[in-house]
Amino acid sequence: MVLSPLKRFMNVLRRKVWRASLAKALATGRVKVGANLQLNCPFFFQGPGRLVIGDNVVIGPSFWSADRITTFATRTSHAVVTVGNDVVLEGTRIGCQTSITIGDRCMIGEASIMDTDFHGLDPDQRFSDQMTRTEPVMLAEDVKVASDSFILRGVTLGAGVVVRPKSVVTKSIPAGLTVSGYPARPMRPADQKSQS
Amino acid sequence: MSFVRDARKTYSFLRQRPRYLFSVIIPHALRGTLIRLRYLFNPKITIGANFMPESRVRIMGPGKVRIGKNVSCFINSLEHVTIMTTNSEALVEIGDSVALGGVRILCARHVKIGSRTICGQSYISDVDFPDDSVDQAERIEVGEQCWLSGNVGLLKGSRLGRGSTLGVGAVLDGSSVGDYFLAIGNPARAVLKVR
Repeated sequence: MVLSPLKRFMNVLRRKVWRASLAKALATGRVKVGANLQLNCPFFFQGPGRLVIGDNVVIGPSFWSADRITTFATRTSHAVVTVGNDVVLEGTRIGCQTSITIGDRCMIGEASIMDTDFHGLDPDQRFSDQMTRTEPVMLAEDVKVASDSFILRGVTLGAGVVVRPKSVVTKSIPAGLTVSGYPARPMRPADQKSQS
Repeated sequence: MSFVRDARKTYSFLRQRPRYLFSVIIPHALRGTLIRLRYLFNPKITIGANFMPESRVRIMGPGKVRIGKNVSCFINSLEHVTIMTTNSEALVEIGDSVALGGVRILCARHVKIGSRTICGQSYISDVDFPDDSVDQAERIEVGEQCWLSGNVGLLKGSRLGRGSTLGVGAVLDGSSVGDYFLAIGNPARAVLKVR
């Protein structure tokens, strides 16, 4: 794609603003970033927790809209978000209360990953921490998550799992499966479909 | 003096986090006061005391909007609070102590949200399209102490009972859910009685 000189100049300016937002997050001392980070949107980091990012990571906005940026929100001081090497995050929204781990070579679209329910189910206990269920989330290597899907607390996705668009993952998925729907269920492999 | 006692109880956590006063409470209260002043002489829109919006609140259209006391608004999933009425008979009622996070309301007849409800990013519309007539609209009622979590939809004619919860991504399509239920799925069905 050929850009006009004005647009190229504006992109240079934008990148400077984004780098400044990253420097502001790094200055807190709770964010660690590996080598060769490619930043295509403002760096949004919020809260008292920690964030560790590996090498060769791409952080960008959603494919559909430049406003829908990747956000990291931590809610407690012991919250840790770990992002592996060669990960692509495009408009992912991460809300962390204990720990969220994203393995190497994951590709995650405009999905929400959260390891807490944020509120209790009982109407009188909505804001109590004891009644709010919070379990760590783990994504193994080579996981692909498509846009508009949700990954809820206590979910472990095995290596090579593919989550299709608009699905809500409520339970752990073993390695190598493709899931979709609400709640997300494994799809039958293509060769078994003709048998039944 | 009961007002002072209530305020002391509400903001007692400021002893642990004193910066919260300057970073959150004062800016939000100022913005809320400005928005209330803006609609002070507008008979269609009434906003109760202690309105605490985190970001801008868009109220559009010719209908009536009634917002109760102690209502707070947040950005949720990068979405601002938007209330839109399509005609002058429309009425949006929001109760006391409601937390509105990224709620989009499209109202042609009547949308009611009960007091002490928590809303995440949700889409509430009692009519399918903005240019549909009033006859095609059906009223929506959300009870007290409900919880609408993220990416939730409430379409026309739906009713959520007192203390009920809509799970992440649930779409309530014209059906009604009783009191103290958890409803998930699209279309949403009650799966668990909480109490």
